[in-house]
Amino acid sequence: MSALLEVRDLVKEYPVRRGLLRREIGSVKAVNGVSLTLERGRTLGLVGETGCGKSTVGRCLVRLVEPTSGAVYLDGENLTEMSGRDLRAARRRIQLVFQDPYASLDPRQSVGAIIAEPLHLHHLERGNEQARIANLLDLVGLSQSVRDQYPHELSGGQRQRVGIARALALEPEVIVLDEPVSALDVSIQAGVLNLLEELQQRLDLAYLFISHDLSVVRHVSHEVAVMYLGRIVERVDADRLYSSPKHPYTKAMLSAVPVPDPRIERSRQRIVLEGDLPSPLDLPGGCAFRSRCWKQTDRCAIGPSLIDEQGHAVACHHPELE
Amino acid sequence: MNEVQPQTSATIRTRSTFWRRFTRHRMAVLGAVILTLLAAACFGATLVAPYPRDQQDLLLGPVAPSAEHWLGTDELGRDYLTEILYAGQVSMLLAISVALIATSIGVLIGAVAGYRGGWIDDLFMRVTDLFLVVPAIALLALALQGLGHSPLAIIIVLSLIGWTYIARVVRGQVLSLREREFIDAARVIGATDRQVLVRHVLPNLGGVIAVNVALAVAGTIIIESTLSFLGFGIQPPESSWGNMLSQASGLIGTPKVYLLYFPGLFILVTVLAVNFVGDGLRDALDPRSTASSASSRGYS
Amino acid sequence: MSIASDGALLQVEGLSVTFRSRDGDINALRDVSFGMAAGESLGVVGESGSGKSLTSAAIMGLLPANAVVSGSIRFMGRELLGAKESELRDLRGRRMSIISQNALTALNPVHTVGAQIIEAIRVHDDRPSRRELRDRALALLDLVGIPQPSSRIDNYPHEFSGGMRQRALIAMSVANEPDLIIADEPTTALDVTVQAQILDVLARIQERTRSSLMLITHDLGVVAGVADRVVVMYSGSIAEQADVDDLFHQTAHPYTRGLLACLPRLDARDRSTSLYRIPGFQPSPSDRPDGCTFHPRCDVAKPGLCDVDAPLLIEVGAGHIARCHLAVRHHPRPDGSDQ
Repeated sequence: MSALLEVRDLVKEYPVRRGLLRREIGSVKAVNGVSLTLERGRTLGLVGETGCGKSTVGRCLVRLVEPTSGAVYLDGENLTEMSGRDLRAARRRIQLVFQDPYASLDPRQSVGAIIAEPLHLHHLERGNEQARIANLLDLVGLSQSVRDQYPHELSGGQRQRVGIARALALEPEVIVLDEPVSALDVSIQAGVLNLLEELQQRLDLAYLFISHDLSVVRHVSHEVAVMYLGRIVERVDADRLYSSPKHPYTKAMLSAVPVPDPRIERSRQRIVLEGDLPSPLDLPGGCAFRSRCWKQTDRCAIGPSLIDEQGHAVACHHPELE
Repeated sequence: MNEVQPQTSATIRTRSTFWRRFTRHRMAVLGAVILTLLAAACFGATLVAPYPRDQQDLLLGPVAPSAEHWLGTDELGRDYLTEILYAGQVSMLLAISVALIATSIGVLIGAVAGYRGGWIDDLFMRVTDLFLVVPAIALLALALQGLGHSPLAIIIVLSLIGWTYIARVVRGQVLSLREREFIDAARVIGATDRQVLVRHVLPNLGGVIAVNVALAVAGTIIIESTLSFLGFGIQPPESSWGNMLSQASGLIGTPKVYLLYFPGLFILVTVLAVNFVGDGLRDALDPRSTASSASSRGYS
Repeated sequence: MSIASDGALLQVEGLSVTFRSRDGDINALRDVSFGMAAGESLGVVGESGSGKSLTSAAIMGLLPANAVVSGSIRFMGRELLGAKESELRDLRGRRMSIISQNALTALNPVHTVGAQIIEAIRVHDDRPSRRELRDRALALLDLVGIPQPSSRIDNYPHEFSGGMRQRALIAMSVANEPDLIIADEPTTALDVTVQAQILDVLARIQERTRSSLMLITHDLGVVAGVADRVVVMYSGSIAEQADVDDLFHQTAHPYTRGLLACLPRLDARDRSTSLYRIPGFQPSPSDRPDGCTFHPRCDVAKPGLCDVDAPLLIEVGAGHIARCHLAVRHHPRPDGSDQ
């Protein structure tokens, strides 16, 4: 049986141009062979730091970015080969919620018009549109009175709920959530996270939850994939990732996340990584993490592949022991 | 570009708030009132004008403003106010037509070039560069020499030259709008390029377009005067504010120099009023300009 | 330690900031009082709009022109409110300095990083020779953990990564060994591993120069690791102030409790059910509710009390105050000590 969403060997290259004639001098692989699977009703967390390619993966899934190679299967159908009418139909099934709820809402449209737009575009709910909008507002916990308001009149949390309602209007099966709470204040963030969880249970949604915030990912995900410079370096169910990370990068990242408890903070061993992320134009050969890794040896000159052992996949020659 | 927009309660509300925002702009309301009165007077000249058109009174000759002739008369004894009102028909029609045609062409080309990019954009940029290096006045004079001096010819030529400016402005705006996330959001929910342009790009250009129509109206009136001055504009017996101005220019240094001021004054008042209306439209088209007093962004 | 430890270094008393606007006055900051001892780390926590950044702007004398300030800010025995601009300029950068969150815009793109650090030194000390200035800049870059400073000093800001720019900015801020460093969300735009590096640098600098650190942040996790004492702000006033352990373990104010409860935790045992959610949102300064500003969102608010009377700051334990009618008082610690 195939998964609801399956991503196979996704690659996105960007050409790098220099000089007056804008000659192509090479290319950067923002995403370098990423494979994922996602089941109905489940959440896969995709974590990594700025520039690791996690957002590009999300954008490839909804075809906002055209992948260079690889395939995205939705229920066995290859999205990357679709165009025109088929693509429009497939778009209904996979939706994206953006990070910045202000930038992703047209400032000149009222909330009602924003939520109605996907219905118009797909000729849905004709004659029944007002009731459907009311129902969507209800679903995301907004009062009916916001319908005639404009994005600038709403709070950050309300705006993000409008973005979620717009995505839900098409009754998708998969929602890519690209940093959906990182622009929100903590007290607002909790409400949106709870809402997402509630919607998942009610509508049996599958989420790809993209975030740099490991605490949030821990809270929402069933399974987590960690990305570093365009590749997945570790993938396992959430509990095991947090209790026994195998990749040194995951370990360092987890140790760097502050915990809101001064007593725990004082006793924690923090792994402070040396140096910066290498430039994607000038990657070290072999394992991309080896320039910053405290465990690196000569073996690391040959890139490790992602090897799955009992459901815990890691790409490292010297993984931590479980 | 005639996408049928479904009438939801939201769009109706937009219309009423549009008026509320516009009427808050006092100078814009004043401008609109003045423009309406001027247009009514000019286009209703047959009813409003104190004398019939072209009624000469050779015995009277040129006289200074008086109770019978508010703005005086010209050498042929024609009532100057009547002349100005009839000339206004031509000037206003010309200015509004050119502004609307040039802006439509410019918005369409600029929006497509900015949104699609690639070779379309390159081609567009080269063409507008061409327009920039060729002196517009010379081009105008040459074209009108060939086409004749009818108002229609002038409208066509001015529109064909005038679109490049607004096209450049629109292209720039679209380039930055294209990067905005709500455009991506529209594509994700399945909007085609054309739908994105019509639903999201053009409405966000409303302010820019309004201001440009105003500028183009003002600019056209002024260019038409310049052309008349040079002898390439509307030719007598047809009259416009521009050629009244140029005909009166011979009177500089004589006591009758006031004949120069009146058409000038009408041009000035019209241009100012149009500009105020343009400003008002820009604000009225932006929902954020009514930001409620409760908003307190800016400090934390 | 008394409440608002008697401010050997900094004593803010009854600080209020009002903005004059066409729609009436906006009381953005109301009656804020706290103190800082030398060498201390104070965390100022709050959500956007709570007034935390405004507090630091008031201390630095960098408020916009339409702000009306009242109260008192005493720094090293000198009153800053009403002080001459020349006097403030002399203090800024030399005695106190600010590290802002926007490392990209805070650096001038047309000058090298080295030149900007040297400029920061020279503003307050024009005696050193060029050789000396360059050596000091190199030492500063080394201090903030920029590898191979001698090959990096002549780089332009765009050649630095986000984390390195933040370090360069820190180097500029501490160039004259200020007594007070105000760090306004210094790590908000950065990734966790870079955040760890930056916090590490700040701790190292503080240890070396014995300076005090005022860390303004929305992140309770960062505060738990860095601060000795914490001020929690809500809607323009102080909601709670305590030693870091008391704040997290003897939390007195319902807002602070809510903030802690709504955080997803990395050290959670499993994928827990749902997070606590503080209902509603922070009121805008022009539209605050009567009584306690937090009462519409509070789950213990008492009708007839909290929606009528504005609570005062009350002492709930040693050095621990909270602005709440129903603040939870300290219970004795298990080992019997209460400082």
